[in-house]
Amino acid sequence: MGLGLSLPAAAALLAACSGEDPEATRRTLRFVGWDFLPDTIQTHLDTWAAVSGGTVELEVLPVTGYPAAIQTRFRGGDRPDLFYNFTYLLGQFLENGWNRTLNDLPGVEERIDALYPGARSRFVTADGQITSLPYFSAVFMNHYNAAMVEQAGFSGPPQTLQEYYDQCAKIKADGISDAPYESSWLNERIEEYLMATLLGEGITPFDDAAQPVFADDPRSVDVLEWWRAMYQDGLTSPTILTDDNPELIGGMTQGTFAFYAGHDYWLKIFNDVGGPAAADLRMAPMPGAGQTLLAGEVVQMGPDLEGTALNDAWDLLKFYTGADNDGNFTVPLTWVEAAALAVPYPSFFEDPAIQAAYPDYYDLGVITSEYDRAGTPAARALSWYQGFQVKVGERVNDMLAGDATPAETVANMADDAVELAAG
Amino acid sequence: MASRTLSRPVLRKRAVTALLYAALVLFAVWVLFPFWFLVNSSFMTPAEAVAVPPHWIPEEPTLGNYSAILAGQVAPGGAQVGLRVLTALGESFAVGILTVVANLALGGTAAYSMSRFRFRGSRLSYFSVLFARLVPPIAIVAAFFVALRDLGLINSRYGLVVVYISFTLPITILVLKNYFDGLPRELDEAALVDGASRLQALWYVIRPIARPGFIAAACLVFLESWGEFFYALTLTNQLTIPPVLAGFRGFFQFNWTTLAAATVLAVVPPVLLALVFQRYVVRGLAQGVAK
Amino acid sequence: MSDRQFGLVLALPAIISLVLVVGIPGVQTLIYSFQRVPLSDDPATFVGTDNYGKVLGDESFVESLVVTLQYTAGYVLLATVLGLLFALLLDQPLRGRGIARALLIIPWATPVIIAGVMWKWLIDPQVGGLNAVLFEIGVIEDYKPFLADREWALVFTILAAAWHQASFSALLFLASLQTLPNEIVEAAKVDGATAWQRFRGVVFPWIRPMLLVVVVINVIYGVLQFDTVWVMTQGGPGDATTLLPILLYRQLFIFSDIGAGSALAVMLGVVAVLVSSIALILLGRDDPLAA
Repeated sequence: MGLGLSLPAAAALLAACSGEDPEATRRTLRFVGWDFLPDTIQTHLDTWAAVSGGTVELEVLPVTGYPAAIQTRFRGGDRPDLFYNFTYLLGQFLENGWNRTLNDLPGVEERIDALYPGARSRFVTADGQITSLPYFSAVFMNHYNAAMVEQAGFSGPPQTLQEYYDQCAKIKADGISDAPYESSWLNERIEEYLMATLLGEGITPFDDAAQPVFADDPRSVDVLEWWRAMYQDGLTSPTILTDDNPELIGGMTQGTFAFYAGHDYWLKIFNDVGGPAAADLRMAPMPGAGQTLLAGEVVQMGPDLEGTALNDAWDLLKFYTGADNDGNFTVPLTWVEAAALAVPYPSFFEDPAIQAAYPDYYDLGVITSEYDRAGTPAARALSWYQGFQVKVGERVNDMLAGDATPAETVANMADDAVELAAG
Repeated sequence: MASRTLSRPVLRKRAVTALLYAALVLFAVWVLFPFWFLVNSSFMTPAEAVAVPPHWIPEEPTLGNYSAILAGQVAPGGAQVGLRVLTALGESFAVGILTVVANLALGGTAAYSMSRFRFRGSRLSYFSVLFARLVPPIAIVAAFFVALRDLGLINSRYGLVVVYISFTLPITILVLKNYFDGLPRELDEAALVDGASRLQALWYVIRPIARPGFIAAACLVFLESWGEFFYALTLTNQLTIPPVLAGFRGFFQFNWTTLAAATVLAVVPPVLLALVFQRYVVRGLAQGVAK
Repeated sequence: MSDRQFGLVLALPAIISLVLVVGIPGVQTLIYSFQRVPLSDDPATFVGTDNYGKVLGDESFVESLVVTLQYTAGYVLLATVLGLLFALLLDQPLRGRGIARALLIIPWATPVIIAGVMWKWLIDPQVGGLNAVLFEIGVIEDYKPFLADREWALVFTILAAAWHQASFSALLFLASLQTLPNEIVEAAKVDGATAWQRFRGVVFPWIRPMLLVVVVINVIYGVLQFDTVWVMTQGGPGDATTLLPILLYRQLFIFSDIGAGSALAVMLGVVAVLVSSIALILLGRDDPLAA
């Protein structure tokens, strides 16, 4: 019967609940993160340890290659207790049993309920499993060079895709910039841009059953028509298909590009690096009246926790991903100060310490209103979805190269999604 | 007439010499042109590094990138470099040396054997040595992880050395076998006639003569191990220098200048080592085959 | 102990090491390629050649194979020819040769992943030094976005990797050249042979065995190239630089299909063997391994 298997688990639970000898199940936790401010991560872990009496060891891996490194660890049976993860890996980790779901932990419902409603689907699956809590979040915004837009005779940033095209065309025609438009169109990242644009236009990419209903909406073809025109008419950075962070930062701060569509933390990076154009850079909502795409990565819990170690891990996870026991956003505050990273709770933006930590050039009113209308398709957290990201990159590249029409591309991407979902 | 016929070979020789020096300059450009920008950026602020058009030398040179790394401070552009760069350089060095020692011991004897003796399966083993280099690291990294974990060698320099043998040993054997093939067999035979055992012949006769080959193999193995990224990424927590350098490419940061400084620091030790080895290569030659 | 036995004993430690670190994971990859491998604790099931059908049936495999062959051809040619030229040059008694040999180490000491980052920076259409130089000397009339173009992207990912690898080849050639007895060259000079005749008649035959080794190594490195291309283009623009190892990475770490990934890894090994064989046949020796 199942009794033999569940016995150890029951015993651990008993030990944890009965309160006798908590040290028996207490052990040093293992925390794996990627290489962003590792000293600060260590400080946070030390702070938590001092308050809680627990112990935790930090292991840091580089961001470049993190997906391969963390997957290799889990495949090899090495399962840390808490770890950063990319949202697109959530489905696969859940399927493999590599993370512990959080549903049974005390107070988790309050955490989830405190999220912006649009953020919920990142952390909770369609069937209600809570997989993770936010390491950071961001909204997709349109960064623009106000001086260039003004010089081209426009009173403000574009509100629609058509205006976007027109502004870029005018800026280029007037010789203000040879390459007005920049974004992150590097293979797998194209999918995020596609989702941001579809949502902005009010198109539903996937229905509740994760079916690619964007293919049924004729406006999806319009979005791709616009996309192709931007590229083929030479309005984008010529190397937009391979540009990475250094290229886009240099291009924006030096005044080579007029626009950058991407996560809202970029404005701080531009200002920190500085350059002749840095002071002219502003941020506005993405064109389109629909939804804003919510982005960001997560912290997850490993599957091998029980007893006091589990309590410790849960305590640390809460501390790390939101307000601490005193209601202060201790950890997120440092990410705001360092890189304008947010966590998707309304209470986060209402916190005076957080508000004070954002640089003056951030309009928190705009950002919170974007969070109010932010969302992310639930399909993005399914295990087949990473394969879809690769396919979207290939399909859109084919279209930009002139090998497929926008209508064909929409149809092909829908077929890819159905095929991948079927396994 | 006489003077012209005399000067022709001289002129010709001068022309050849000039050509050779021109080629030397081209060679220096090939090596240094890409590298110059790296060195250049390492003395710049992040803002100057992205100036358009690029600056050939820093207008406001700064040692900030280096001092941040050497003193473990926060670098310009916000990178917390800590003292991790220096620690990782030390680990890279240790891994490189250990890998070289293991390679010369294992590969030297095997290459000599494959060059001199025919035993059952000798051809086959030479083939499989070649085949060994064909296995893509990405495909077998999971197997290594499990094995090292069972041995308690995750995040350990010894674990990396074991794994690095997988892709360096084939190279060592290839290089050294070829080298031994070029050495006259009469040397071994003369030693044996003199009453030396086969092991003594290998150690006292062949080893000193083969020094240039050993040093070349050691150089190759050391540098292969020095620059290896994928295994170090997946089997350690940024133990050696390549994964630490990769960490500078964060997504909320722009650390080109710090990365440049750290890379310069990472390239200096092997170049210094190579300068030292250089003399040995020449000396080994003078004592060895050329006689 | 007979010579055969002695040879076997000498080779045994290396053979055992390679069986452990390459043989076992390699065979495991081969077995996986005929299995469906779940990542959970469920056992793997044999699926015959389904994985191979999946890999071969994917249109991106064929495209990637073509790109890989182009890439390898360019890479092997560049890394080998430049390496040979550098070695011949640095073997001449020129002033500054010591410094030049130290320079030779720089590209090889630069970790490949950094070589990629550096070259991407170098050829950037805004901040890159290459555009600035080509523009100044009048080769181009406008800054060129090299990575925007499919062909140029392939060319520069080859250049970046070959920059690193040419030094490796040169080092091997140099080691071989240094064993060339001076008397032979001098004798040829006395006989009135031109430089080209000396190269054809004396130098080339001498380094020929090393040339075969270098070509085989470069083919393997070319076919397995990953790090440099990954940091420069991630396979882009589009699939212009999507080499087979990049497909392999996707198969293993994005699609998480260990069976199909292993099948692809096996195919990759087959491609490397075939390309090496073709290269060796072109060099006029069908059996390079016969000592």
